[in-house]
Amino acid sequence: MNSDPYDSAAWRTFGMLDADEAVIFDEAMRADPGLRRACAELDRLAAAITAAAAEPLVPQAGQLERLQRRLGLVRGGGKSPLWVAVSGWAAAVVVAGTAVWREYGVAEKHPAKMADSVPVVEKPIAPPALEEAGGGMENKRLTAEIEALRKNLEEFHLRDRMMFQLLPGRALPLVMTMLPPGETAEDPAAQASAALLGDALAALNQSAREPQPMTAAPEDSSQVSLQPVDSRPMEQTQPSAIPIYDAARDAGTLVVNNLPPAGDGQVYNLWVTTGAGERPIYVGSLPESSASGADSFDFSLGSTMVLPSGFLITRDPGDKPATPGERNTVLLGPPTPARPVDSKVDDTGAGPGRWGR
Amino acid sequence: MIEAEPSPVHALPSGLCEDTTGEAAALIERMGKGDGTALAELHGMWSPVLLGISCRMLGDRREAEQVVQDTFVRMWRGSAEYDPHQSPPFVWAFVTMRALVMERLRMRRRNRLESPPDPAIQPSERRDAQKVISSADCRRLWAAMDQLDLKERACLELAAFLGFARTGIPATAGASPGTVKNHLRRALETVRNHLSRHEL
Repeated sequence: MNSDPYDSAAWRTFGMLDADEAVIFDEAMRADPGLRRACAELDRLAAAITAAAAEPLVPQAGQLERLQRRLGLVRGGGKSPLWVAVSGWAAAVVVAGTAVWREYGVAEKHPAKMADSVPVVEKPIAPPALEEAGGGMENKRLTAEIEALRKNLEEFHLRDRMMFQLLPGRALPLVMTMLPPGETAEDPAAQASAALLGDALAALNQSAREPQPMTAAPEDSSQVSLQPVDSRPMEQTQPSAIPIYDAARDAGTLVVNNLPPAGDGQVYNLWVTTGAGERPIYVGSLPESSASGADSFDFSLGSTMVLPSGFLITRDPGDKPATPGERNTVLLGPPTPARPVDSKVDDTGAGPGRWGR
Repeated sequence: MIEAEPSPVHALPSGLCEDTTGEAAALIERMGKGDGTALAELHGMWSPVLLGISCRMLGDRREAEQVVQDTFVRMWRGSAEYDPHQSPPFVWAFVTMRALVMERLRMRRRNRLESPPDPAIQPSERRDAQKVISSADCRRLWAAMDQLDLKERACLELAAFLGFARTGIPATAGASPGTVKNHLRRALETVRNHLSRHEL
Protein backbone atom coordinates (compact mmCIF):
# COMPACT_ATOMS: atom_id res chain seq x y z
CA MET A 1 0.00 0.00 0.00
CA ASN A 2 1.16 3.50 -0.73
CA SER A 3 2.73 5.47 2.09
CA ASP A 4 0.52 8.48 1.46
CA PRO A 5 -3.05 7.68 2.46
CA TYR A 6 -4.37 10.47 0.28
CA ASP A 7 -2.66 8.93 -2.74
CA SER A 8 -4.06 5.53 -1.86
CA ALA A 9 -7.52 7.05 -1.54
CA ALA A 10 -7.08 8.60 -4.98
CA TRP A 11 -5.94 5.34 -6.57
CA ARG A 12 -8.88 3.58 -4.92
CA THR A 13 -11.33 6.20 -6.17
CA PHE A 14 -9.97 5.96 -9.70
CA GLY A 15 -10.06 2.16 -9.72
CA MET A 16 -6.30 1.88 -9.99
CA LEU A 17 -5.76 -0.57 -7.13
CA ASP A 18 -5.83 -4.24 -7.91
CA ALA A 19 -8.33 -6.45 -6.08
CA ASP A 20 -6.03 -7.37 -3.17
CA GLU A 21 -4.90 -3.79 -2.62
CA ALA A 22 -8.49 -2.61 -2.73
CA VAL A 23 -9.49 -5.08 -0.01
CA ILE A 24 -6.59 -3.98 2.21
CA PHE A 25 -7.44 -0.33 1.61
CA ASP A 26 -11.12 -0.85 2.43
CA GLU A 27 -10.21 -2.53 5.69
CA ALA A 28 -7.88 0.30 6.58
CA MET A 29 -10.55 2.85 5.67
CA ARG A 30 -13.06 1.32 8.05
CA ALA A 31 -10.70 1.99 10.93
CA ASP A 32 -9.42 5.38 9.80
CA PRO A 33 -11.83 8.36 9.73
CA GLY A 34 -9.23 10.50 7.94
CA LEU A 35 -9.02 8.01 5.11
CA ARG A 36 -12.79 7.86 4.92
CA ARG A 37 -12.98 11.61 4.67
CA ALA A 38 -10.31 11.69 1.98
CA CYS A 39 -12.23 9.10 -0.02
CA ALA A 40 -15.50 10.96 0.43
CA GLU A 41 -13.95 14.20 -0.83
CA LEU A 42 -12.33 12.47 -3.77
CA ASP A 43 -15.70 10.94 -4.61
CA ARG A 44 -17.15 14.44 -4.69
CA LEU A 45 -14.40 15.64 -6.98
CA ALA A 46 -14.73 12.65 -9.30
CA ALA A 47 -18.51 13.08 -9.42
CA ALA A 48 -18.15 16.78 -10.20
CA ILE A 49 -15.50 16.26 -12.89
CA THR A 50 -17.41 13.51 -14.64
CA ALA A 51 -20.74 15.32 -14.43
CA ALA A 52 -19.21 18.49 -15.82
CA ALA A 53 -17.20 16.76 -18.53
CA ALA A 54 -19.56 14.07 -19.78
CA GLU A 55 -22.09 14.88 -22.42
CA PRO A 56 -25.55 13.98 -21.10
CA LEU A 57 -27.25 11.29 -23.16
CA VAL A 58 -30.98 10.78 -23.37
CA PRO A 59 -31.78 7.19 -22.36
CA GLN A 60 -33.53 5.05 -24.93
CA ALA A 61 -37.30 5.21 -24.85
CA GLY A 62 -38.90 2.89 -22.35
CA GLN A 63 -35.99 2.78 -19.90
CA LEU A 64 -38.06 4.23 -17.06
CA GLU A 65 -40.89 1.80 -17.76
CA ARG A 66 -38.40 -1.09 -17.75
CA LEU A 67 -37.03 0.12 -14.45
CA GLN A 68 -40.50 0.42 -12.97
CA ARG A 69 -41.41 -3.05 -14.18
CA ARG A 70 -38.21 -4.41 -12.68
CA LEU A 71 -39.09 -2.93 -9.34
CA GLY A 72 -42.72 -4.02 -9.55
CA LEU A 73 -43.95 -0.43 -9.63
CA VAL A 74 -46.36 -0.95 -12.51
CA ARG A 75 -48.97 -3.51 -13.48
CA GLY A 76 -49.72 -5.50 -10.45
CA GLY A 77 -47.11 -3.86 -8.28
CA GLY A 78 -48.30 -2.35 -5.06
CA LYS A 79 -46.84 1.03 -5.90
CA SER A 80 -48.25 1.63 -9.35
CA PRO A 81 -48.14 5.34 -10.17
CA LEU A 82 -51.21 4.90 -12.34
CA TRP A 83 -53.19 3.45 -9.49
CA VAL A 84 -51.87 6.15 -7.24
CA ALA A 85 -53.18 8.70 -9.69
CA VAL A 86 -56.55 7.00 -10.00
CA SER A 87 -56.95 6.50 -6.30
CA GLY A 88 -55.79 10.07 -5.68
CA TRP A 89 -58.45 11.50 -7.94
CA ALA A 90 -61.03 9.14 -6.51
CA ALA A 91 -60.14 10.24 -3.01
CA ALA A 92 -60.43 13.87 -4.09
CA VAL A 93 -63.89 13.21 -5.48
CA VAL A 94 -64.93 11.47 -2.29
CA VAL A 95 -63.66 14.34 -0.15
CA ALA A 96 -65.33 16.93 -2.37
CA GLY A 97 -68.59 15.02 -2.35
CA THR A 98 -68.52 14.64 1.41
CA ALA A 99 -67.84 18.34 1.85
CA VAL A 100 -70.77 19.23 -0.38
CA TRP A 101 -73.10 16.97 1.51
CA ARG A 102 -72.07 18.32 4.87
CA GLU A 103 -72.22 21.92 3.69
CA TYR A 104 -75.83 21.68 2.58
CA GLY A 105 -77.06 19.27 5.22
CA VAL A 106 -78.23 16.71 2.74
CA ALA A 107 -76.44 14.01 4.58
CA GLU A 108 -78.38 14.76 7.71
CA LYS A 109 -81.67 14.47 5.87
CA HIS A 110 -80.73 11.25 4.08
CA PRO A 111 -78.11 9.52 6.19
CA ALA A 112 -78.89 6.13 4.73
CA LYS A 113 -78.13 7.34 1.22
CA MET A 114 -74.81 8.86 2.12
CA ALA A 115 -72.78 5.76 1.43
CA ASP A 116 -74.50 5.17 -1.89
CA SER A 117 -74.02 8.66 -3.11
CA VAL A 118 -70.24 8.80 -2.77
CA PRO A 119 -69.18 6.45 -5.53
CA VAL A 120 -71.84 7.75 -7.95
CA VAL A 121 -69.65 10.49 -9.25
CA GLU A 122 -71.40 10.55 -12.61
CA LYS A 123 -74.44 12.14 -10.98
CA PRO A 124 -73.26 14.39 -8.21
CA ILE A 125 -76.15 15.62 -6.14
CA ALA A 126 -75.46 19.25 -5.48
CA PRO A 127 -77.60 22.31 -5.07
CA PRO A 128 -77.95 24.56 -8.13
CA ALA A 129 -75.96 27.30 -6.40
CA LEU A 130 -72.94 25.05 -6.16
CA GLU A 131 -73.35 23.95 -9.76
CA GLU A 132 -73.16 27.57 -10.77
CA ALA A 133 -70.11 28.04 -8.58
CA GLY A 134 -68.29 25.39 -10.51
CA GLY A 135 -68.38 22.52 -8.02
CA GLY A 136 -70.48 20.41 -10.35
CA MET A 137 -68.19 21.17 -13.24
CA GLU A 138 -65.22 20.12 -11.18
CA ASN A 139 -66.94 16.85 -10.29
CA LYS A 140 -67.70 16.22 -13.94
CA ARG A 141 -64.13 16.95 -14.89
CA LEU A 142 -62.82 14.59 -12.25
CA THR A 143 -65.30 11.95 -13.32
CA ALA A 144 -64.19 12.30 -16.91
CA GLU A 145 -60.55 12.02 -15.92
CA ILE A 146 -61.20 8.91 -13.87
CA GLU A 147 -63.11 7.45 -16.78
CA ALA A 148 -60.24 8.21 -19.14
CA LEU A 149 -57.74 6.63 -16.78
CA ARG A 150 -59.94 3.58 -16.42
CA LYS A 151 -60.14 3.23 -20.19
CA ASN A 152 -56.37 3.53 -20.44
CA LEU A 153 -55.98 0.79 -17.86
CA GLU A 154 -58.39 -1.45 -19.72
CA GLU A 155 -56.45 -0.86 -22.93
CA PHE A 156 -53.20 -1.75 -21.19
CA HIS A 157 -54.73 -4.90 -19.77
CA LEU A 158 -56.17 -5.85 -23.13
CA ARG A 159 -52.81 -5.23 -24.77
CA ASP A 160 -51.08 -7.41 -22.19
CA ARG A 161 -53.61 -10.18 -22.64
CA MET A 162 -53.12 -10.06 -26.41
CA MET A 163 -49.35 -9.98 -26.10
CA PHE A 164 -49.28 -13.11 -24.03
CA GLN A 165 -51.88 -15.01 -26.00
CA LEU A 166 -50.36 -17.70 -28.18
CA LEU A 167 -51.94 -17.98 -31.59
CA PRO A 168 -51.25 -20.35 -34.48
CA GLY A 169 -48.42 -19.00 -36.59
CA ARG A 170 -47.26 -16.60 -33.92
CA ALA A 171 -44.96 -16.80 -30.95
CA LEU A 172 -43.40 -14.39 -28.46
CA PRO A 173 -41.60 -12.29 -29.40
CA LEU A 174 -43.75 -12.19 -32.50
CA VAL A 175 -42.20 -14.46 -35.08
CA MET A 176 -44.12 -15.35 -38.20
CA THR A 177 -43.48 -16.62 -41.67
CA MET A 178 -44.41 -14.55 -44.69
CA LEU A 179 -45.10 -16.38 -47.92
CA PRO A 180 -46.52 -15.36 -51.30
CA PRO A 181 -50.31 -14.95 -51.26
CA GLY A 182 -52.09 -18.27 -51.53
CA GLU A 183 -49.11 -20.27 -50.35
CA THR A 184 -49.37 -22.22 -47.14
CA ALA A 185 -46.69 -23.82 -45.04
CA GLU A 186 -46.18 -27.39 -46.21
CA ASP A 187 -45.11 -28.72 -42.85
CA PRO A 188 -47.45 -27.83 -39.99
CA ALA A 189 -44.61 -28.28 -37.55
CA ALA A 190 -42.87 -25.40 -39.26
CA GLN A 191 -45.35 -23.13 -37.58
CA ALA A 192 -43.76 -23.80 -34.24
CA SER A 193 -41.76 -20.92 -32.92
CA ALA A 194 -38.56 -22.94 -32.66
CA ALA A 195 -38.65 -23.76 -36.33
CA LEU A 196 -39.47 -20.20 -37.21
CA LEU A 197 -36.57 -18.92 -35.20
CA GLY A 198 -34.39 -21.60 -36.71
CA ASP A 199 -35.26 -20.37 -40.17
CA ALA A 200 -34.54 -16.83 -39.19
CA LEU A 201 -31.17 -17.73 -37.76
CA ALA A 202 -30.38 -19.96 -40.70
CA ALA A 203 -31.16 -17.09 -43.02
CA LEU A 204 -28.85 -14.87 -41.03
CA ASN A 205 -26.21 -17.58 -41.14
CA GLN A 206 -26.54 -17.90 -44.88
CA SER A 207 -26.31 -14.17 -45.12
CA ALA A 208 -23.11 -14.22 -43.11
CA ARG A 209 -21.58 -17.00 -45.20
CA GLU A 210 -22.41 -15.33 -48.49
CA PRO A 211 -21.52 -11.73 -47.87
CA GLN A 212 -23.37 -9.28 -50.03
CA PRO A 213 -22.37 -5.71 -50.54
CA MET A 214 -25.47 -4.24 -48.93
CA THR A 215 -26.15 -6.86 -46.27
CA ALA A 216 -27.02 -5.36 -42.92
CA ALA A 217 -26.80 -8.01 -40.26
CA PRO A 218 -27.70 -7.35 -36.63
CA GLU A 219 -24.85 -6.20 -34.43
CA ASP A 220 -24.78 -9.26 -32.25
CA SER A 221 -25.59 -11.89 -34.83
CA SER A 222 -22.15 -13.37 -34.31
CA GLN A 223 -23.05 -14.13 -30.71
CA VAL A 224 -26.06 -16.23 -31.65
CA SER A 225 -25.88 -19.93 -32.23
CA LEU A 226 -26.66 -20.18 -35.88
CA GLN A 227 -27.51 -23.88 -35.92
CA PRO A 228 -31.27 -24.30 -35.75
CA VAL A 229 -32.21 -27.22 -33.54
CA ASP A 230 -35.22 -28.39 -35.45
CA SER A 231 -35.57 -26.49 -38.63
CA ARG A 232 -36.59 -27.55 -42.07
CA PRO A 233 -34.13 -26.75 -44.82
CA MET A 234 -34.39 -23.33 -46.37
CA GLU A 235 -36.50 -23.20 -49.49
CA GLN A 236 -34.14 -22.27 -52.27
CA THR A 237 -36.41 -20.52 -54.73
CA GLN A 238 -39.62 -19.42 -53.05
CA PRO A 239 -39.37 -15.96 -51.60
CA SER A 240 -40.13 -15.74 -47.92
CA ALA A 241 -39.64 -13.42 -45.02
CA ILE A 242 -39.65 -13.72 -41.26
CA PRO A 243 -40.46 -10.67 -39.15
CA ILE A 244 -39.36 -10.95 -35.54
CA TYR A 245 -40.94 -8.24 -33.42
CA ASP A 246 -40.74 -7.45 -29.72
CA ALA A 247 -43.76 -5.28 -28.96
CA ALA A 248 -42.56 -4.45 -25.48
CA ARG A 249 -39.46 -2.74 -26.84
CA ASP A 250 -40.84 -1.77 -30.24
CA ALA A 251 -37.88 -3.42 -31.90
CA GLY A 252 -38.08 -5.77 -34.83
CA THR A 253 -35.95 -7.48 -37.41
CA LEU A 254 -37.15 -8.56 -40.82
CA VAL A 255 -35.28 -11.43 -42.44
CA VAL A 256 -36.01 -11.77 -46.13
CA ASN A 257 -34.94 -14.68 -48.28
CA ASN A 258 -34.89 -15.16 -52.05
CA LEU A 259 -36.77 -11.96 -52.67
CA PRO A 260 -36.24 -11.21 -56.37
CA PRO A 261 -35.01 -7.79 -57.43
CA ALA A 262 -37.82 -5.28 -57.27
CA GLY A 263 -37.06 -4.05 -60.76
CA ASP A 264 -36.35 -0.65 -62.19
CA GLY A 265 -37.95 2.14 -60.24
CA GLN A 266 -39.73 -0.26 -57.91
CA VAL A 267 -39.29 -0.89 -54.21
CA TYR A 268 -40.55 -3.30 -51.63
CA ASN A 269 -42.66 -1.82 -48.83
CA LEU A 270 -43.44 -3.33 -45.46
CA TRP A 271 -46.88 -2.99 -43.88
CA VAL A 272 -48.27 -4.13 -40.59
CA THR A 273 -51.83 -5.14 -39.76
CA THR A 274 -53.20 -5.01 -36.26
CA GLY A 275 -56.30 -7.16 -36.68
CA ALA A 276 -58.73 -8.64 -39.16
CA GLY A 277 -60.40 -5.86 -41.14
CA GLU A 278 -58.03 -3.24 -39.76
CA ARG A 279 -56.23 -0.95 -42.15
CA PRO A 280 -52.67 -2.00 -42.92
CA ILE A 281 -50.21 0.56 -41.60
CA TYR A 282 -47.24 1.52 -43.70
CA VAL A 283 -43.95 0.78 -41.93
CA GLY A 284 -41.38 1.75 -44.53
CA SER A 285 -39.51 0.76 -47.67
CA LEU A 286 -36.94 -1.98 -47.72
CA PRO A 287 -33.56 -0.70 -48.74
CA GLU A 288 -32.55 -1.81 -52.20
CA SER A 289 -29.99 -4.19 -50.78
CA SER A 290 -32.78 -6.57 -49.85
CA ALA A 291 -33.56 -7.25 -53.46
CA SER A 292 -31.68 -10.54 -53.62
CA GLY A 293 -30.55 -13.41 -51.43
CA ALA A 294 -30.99 -13.37 -47.69
CA ASP A 295 -30.88 -10.15 -45.80
CA SER A 296 -32.06 -8.69 -42.54
CA PHE A 297 -33.22 -5.28 -41.44
CA ASP A 298 -34.19 -3.71 -38.18
CA PHE A 299 -37.46 -1.83 -37.92
CA SER A 300 -39.73 -0.28 -35.36
CA LEU A 301 -43.39 0.66 -35.44
CA GLY A 302 -43.08 3.89 -33.52
CA SER A 303 -45.11 2.73 -30.54
CA THR A 304 -45.16 -0.14 -28.10
CA MET A 305 -48.95 0.00 -28.24
CA VAL A 306 -49.03 -1.54 -31.72
CA LEU A 307 -49.53 -5.28 -31.59
CA PRO A 308 -49.11 -6.70 -35.09
CA SER A 309 -51.45 -9.43 -36.22
CA GLY A 310 -49.69 -9.72 -39.56
CA PHE A 311 -47.19 -8.24 -41.94
CA LEU A 312 -47.31 -7.61 -45.67
CA ILE A 313 -44.66 -6.81 -48.22
CA THR A 314 -45.79 -5.07 -51.38
CA ARG A 315 -43.90 -4.14 -54.53
CA ASP A 316 -44.73 -0.67 -55.73
CA PRO A 317 -43.36 1.80 -58.23
CA GLY A 318 -41.02 4.41 -56.87
CA ASP A 319 -40.90 5.13 -53.19
CA LYS A 320 -44.59 5.89 -52.93
CA PRO A 321 -46.40 3.09 -51.11
CA ALA A 322 -49.53 1.93 -52.86
CA THR A 323 -52.56 0.23 -51.44
CA PRO A 324 -51.78 -3.38 -50.51
CA GLY A 325 -53.90 -5.56 -52.74
CA GLU A 326 -53.78 -8.74 -54.76
CA ARG A 327 -51.77 -7.02 -57.51
CA ASN A 328 -48.87 -5.74 -55.48
CA THR A 329 -48.71 -7.99 -52.41
CA VAL A 330 -45.72 -10.30 -52.75
CA LEU A 331 -45.50 -11.71 -49.24
CA LEU A 332 -47.87 -11.88 -46.37
CA GLY A 333 -47.86 -13.46 -42.98
CA PRO A 334 -48.99 -15.36 -41.10
CA PRO A 335 -49.59 -17.70 -44.06
CA THR A 336 -53.37 -17.82 -43.59
CA PRO A 337 -54.33 -14.26 -42.75
CA ALA A 338 -57.36 -12.20 -43.55
CA ARG A 339 -56.87 -10.52 -46.90
CA PRO A 340 -55.93 -6.85 -46.79
CA VAL A 341 -58.71 -4.43 -47.35
CA ASP A 342 -57.97 -2.17 -50.29
CA SER A 343 -60.22 0.67 -49.30
CA LYS A 344 -58.97 1.11 -45.77
CA VAL A 345 -55.29 1.62 -46.19
CA ASP A 346 -53.55 4.20 -44.08
CA ASP A 347 -50.94 5.35 -46.54
CA THR A 348 -51.07 8.99 -45.67
CA GLY A 349 -47.81 10.49 -44.59
CA ALA A 350 -44.56 8.71 -44.15
CA GLY A 351 -45.91 6.08 -41.78
CA PRO A 352 -44.87 5.42 -38.22
CA GLY A 353 -42.11 2.94 -38.89
CA ARG A 354 -38.39 3.42 -39.01
CA TRP A 355 -35.68 1.37 -40.66
CA GLY A 356 -32.28 0.70 -39.24
CA ARG A 357 -29.26 -1.14 -40.39
CA MET B 1 2.61 0.42 -6.37
CA ILE B 2 4.81 3.50 -6.52
CA GLU B 3 6.18 4.83 -3.30
CA ALA B 4 5.27 8.48 -3.01
CA GLU B 5 7.19 11.16 -1.27
CA PRO B 6 5.70 11.83 2.14
CA SER B 7 3.08 14.52 1.95
CA PRO B 8 0.51 15.74 4.41
CA VAL B 9 -2.99 14.32 4.21
CA HIS B 10 -5.33 16.94 2.85
CA ALA B 11 -8.96 16.67 2.20
CA LEU B 12 -10.64 18.56 -0.58
CA PRO B 13 -12.75 21.45 0.55
CA SER B 14 -16.34 20.45 1.01
CA GLY B 15 -19.06 22.08 -1.01
CA LEU B 16 -18.81 20.36 -4.38
CA CYS B 17 -21.98 18.58 -5.49
CA GLU B 18 -23.99 19.84 -2.52
CA ASP B 19 -27.74 19.45 -2.87
CA THR B 20 -28.40 23.12 -2.18
CA THR B 21 -32.13 23.01 -2.84
CA GLY B 22 -32.70 19.75 -0.99
CA GLU B 23 -34.79 18.56 -3.92
CA ALA B 24 -32.82 15.40 -4.60
CA ALA B 25 -32.60 14.45 -0.93
CA ALA B 26 -36.36 14.89 -0.61
CA LEU B 27 -36.93 12.64 -3.62
CA ILE B 28 -34.67 9.97 -2.17
CA GLU B 29 -36.51 10.20 1.12
CA ARG B 30 -39.78 9.69 -0.71
CA MET B 31 -38.26 6.74 -2.56
CA GLY B 32 -37.37 5.27 0.81
CA LYS B 33 -41.05 5.35 1.65
CA GLY B 34 -41.93 3.49 -1.54
CA ASP B 35 -42.99 6.46 -3.66
CA GLY B 36 -42.56 5.37 -7.28
CA THR B 37 -43.24 8.84 -8.64
CA ALA B 38 -40.18 10.11 -6.77
CA LEU B 39 -38.10 7.47 -8.53
CA ALA B 40 -39.50 8.59 -11.88
CA GLU B 41 -38.64 12.21 -11.08
CA LEU B 42 -35.12 11.37 -10.02
CA HIS B 43 -34.68 9.19 -13.10
CA GLY B 44 -35.75 12.06 -15.32
CA MET B 45 -33.41 14.41 -13.52
CA TRP B 46 -30.26 12.32 -13.37
CA SER B 47 -30.40 9.51 -15.91
CA PRO B 48 -29.04 11.60 -18.84
CA VAL B 49 -26.00 12.69 -16.82
CA LEU B 50 -25.42 9.24 -15.35
CA LEU B 51 -25.80 7.65 -18.79
CA GLY B 52 -23.31 10.10 -20.27
CA ILE B 53 -20.81 9.27 -17.55
CA SER B 54 -21.26 5.50 -17.69
CA CYS B 55 -21.12 5.53 -21.47
CA ARG B 56 -17.77 7.26 -21.32
CA MET B 57 -16.55 4.93 -18.60
CA LEU B 58 -17.57 1.75 -20.39
CA GLY B 59 -17.39 2.86 -24.03
CA ASP B 60 -20.52 0.84 -24.77
CA ARG B 61 -23.94 2.46 -24.93
CA ARG B 62 -25.94 -0.70 -24.34
CA GLU B 63 -23.90 -1.71 -21.33
CA ALA B 64 -24.09 1.85 -20.04
CA GLU B 65 -27.89 1.84 -20.22
CA GLN B 66 -27.92 -1.39 -18.24
CA VAL B 67 -25.60 0.06 -15.62
CA VAL B 68 -27.82 3.12 -15.17
CA GLN B 69 -30.82 0.82 -14.73
CA ASP B 70 -28.94 -1.20 -12.13
CA THR B 71 -27.88 2.00 -10.40
CA PHE B 72 -31.46 3.15 -9.96
CA VAL B 73 -32.46 -0.31 -8.74
CA ARG B 74 -29.73 -0.18 -6.09
CA MET B 75 -30.68 3.36 -5.15
CA TRP B 76 -34.34 2.37 -4.82
CA ARG B 77 -33.43 -0.52 -2.55
CA GLY B 78 -30.96 1.52 -0.52
CA SER B 79 -32.95 4.73 -0.36
CA ALA B 80 -34.42 3.99 3.06
CA GLU B 81 -30.92 3.82 4.55
CA TYR B 82 -29.54 6.81 2.66
CA ASP B 83 -28.00 9.44 4.94
CA PRO B 84 -27.54 12.85 3.27
CA HIS B 85 -24.97 13.79 5.90
CA GLN B 86 -22.65 11.04 4.71
CA SER B 87 -22.69 12.00 1.07
CA PRO B 88 -24.60 14.43 -1.16
CA PRO B 89 -27.32 12.75 -3.23
CA PHE B 90 -25.61 12.91 -6.59
CA VAL B 91 -22.32 11.69 -5.16
CA TRP B 92 -24.19 8.75 -3.66
CA ALA B 93 -25.67 7.97 -7.09
CA PHE B 94 -22.30 8.41 -8.76
CA VAL B 95 -20.49 6.14 -6.29
CA THR B 96 -23.22 3.52 -6.65
CA MET B 97 -22.89 3.60 -10.40
CA ARG B 98 -19.09 3.62 -10.34
CA ALA B 99 -19.08 0.44 -8.25
CA LEU B 100 -21.26 -1.23 -10.88
CA VAL B 101 -19.01 0.00 -13.67
CA MET B 102 -15.95 -1.34 -11.85
CA GLU B 103 -17.64 -4.73 -11.50
CA ARG B 104 -18.18 -4.81 -15.24
CA LEU B 105 -14.62 -3.72 -15.95
CA ARG B 106 -13.31 -6.45 -13.65
CA MET B 107 -15.53 -8.96 -15.44
CA ARG B 108 -14.14 -7.83 -18.77
CA ARG B 109 -10.61 -8.30 -17.55
CA ARG B 110 -11.45 -11.71 -16.07
CA ASN B 111 -12.98 -12.85 -19.34
CA ARG B 112 -10.22 -11.10 -21.25
CA LEU B 113 -12.77 -9.12 -23.21
CA GLU B 114 -11.35 -6.23 -25.12
CA SER B 115 -12.44 -2.81 -24.00
CA PRO B 116 -13.58 -0.35 -26.63
CA PRO B 117 -10.98 2.30 -27.43
CA ASP B 118 -10.95 5.15 -24.96
CA PRO B 119 -11.89 8.48 -26.49
CA ALA B 120 -11.16 10.44 -23.32
CA ILE B 121 -7.49 11.29 -23.83
CA GLN B 122 -8.32 14.85 -24.83
CA PRO B 123 -9.63 17.20 -22.15
CA SER B 124 -13.37 17.70 -22.39
CA GLU B 125 -15.33 20.72 -23.39
CA ARG B 126 -16.80 22.84 -20.65
CA ARG B 127 -20.31 21.96 -19.67
CA ASP B 128 -22.64 23.29 -17.07
CA ALA B 129 -23.99 20.15 -15.44
CA GLN B 130 -27.20 21.68 -14.26
CA LYS B 131 -29.49 19.57 -12.12
CA VAL B 132 -26.42 17.83 -10.70
CA ILE B 133 -24.02 20.46 -9.50
CA SER B 134 -24.62 24.15 -9.17
CA SER B 135 -23.36 26.64 -11.75
CA ALA B 136 -21.11 28.17 -9.13
CA ASP B 137 -19.54 24.78 -8.43
CA CYS B 138 -19.09 24.23 -12.13
CA ARG B 139 -17.28 27.55 -12.48
CA ARG B 140 -15.04 26.76 -9.52
CA LEU B 141 -14.25 23.36 -10.91
CA TRP B 142 -13.42 24.59 -14.41
CA ALA B 143 -11.32 27.39 -12.97
CA ALA B 144 -9.37 24.82 -10.95
CA MET B 145 -8.97 22.56 -13.98
CA ASP B 146 -7.67 25.52 -15.96
CA GLN B 147 -4.71 25.66 -13.58
CA LEU B 148 -3.51 22.28 -14.83
CA ASP B 149 -1.29 21.71 -17.80
CA LEU B 150 -2.67 19.62 -20.60
CA LYS B 151 -1.16 16.30 -19.51
CA GLU B 152 -2.21 16.70 -15.90
CA ARG B 153 -5.73 17.62 -16.86
CA ALA B 154 -6.06 14.77 -19.35
CA CYS B 155 -4.76 12.34 -16.72
CA LEU B 156 -7.17 13.60 -14.08
CA GLU B 157 -10.17 13.38 -16.39
CA LEU B 158 -9.15 9.98 -17.61
CA ALA B 159 -8.76 8.75 -14.05
CA ALA B 160 -12.14 10.15 -13.03
CA PHE B 161 -13.73 8.25 -15.92
CA LEU B 162 -11.92 5.07 -14.79
CA GLY B 163 -9.78 5.13 -17.91
CA PHE B 164 -6.87 3.60 -16.04
CA ALA B 165 -9.08 0.93 -14.53
CA ARG B 166 -10.20 -0.09 -18.01
CA THR B 167 -6.97 -0.67 -19.81
CA GLY B 168 -4.20 -0.01 -17.32
CA ILE B 169 -1.97 3.02 -17.24
CA PRO B 170 0.68 2.27 -19.86
CA ALA B 171 -1.85 1.15 -22.46
CA THR B 172 -3.98 4.22 -21.96
CA ALA B 173 -1.65 7.11 -21.44
CA GLY B 174 1.44 5.97 -23.26
CA ALA B 175 3.56 6.76 -20.22
CA SER B 176 5.02 4.84 -17.35
CA PRO B 177 2.79 4.26 -14.33
CA GLY B 178 5.10 6.43 -12.24
CA THR B 179 4.80 9.37 -14.62
CA VAL B 180 1.04 9.07 -14.79
CA LYS B 181 0.74 8.90 -11.02
CA ASN B 182 2.94 11.94 -10.67
CA HIS B 183 0.73 13.81 -13.12
CA LEU B 184 -2.30 12.76 -11.11
CA ARG B 185 -0.70 13.70 -7.81
CA ARG B 186 0.17 17.18 -9.04
CA ALA B 187 -3.25 17.61 -10.64
CA LEU B 188 -5.06 16.69 -7.45
CA GLU B 189 -2.92 18.97 -5.35
CA THR B 190 -3.42 21.90 -7.72
CA VAL B 191 -7.16 21.40 -7.89
CA ARG B 192 -7.38 20.96 -4.15
CA ASN B 193 -5.43 24.13 -3.46
CA HIS B 194 -7.40 26.16 -5.96
CA LEU B 195 -10.74 24.97 -4.63
CA SER B 196 -9.61 25.74 -1.07
CA ARG B 197 -8.62 29.27 -1.99
CA HIS B 198 -11.87 29.89 -3.83
CA GLU B 199 -14.25 28.24 -1.44
CA LEU B 200 -17.63 29.88 -1.57
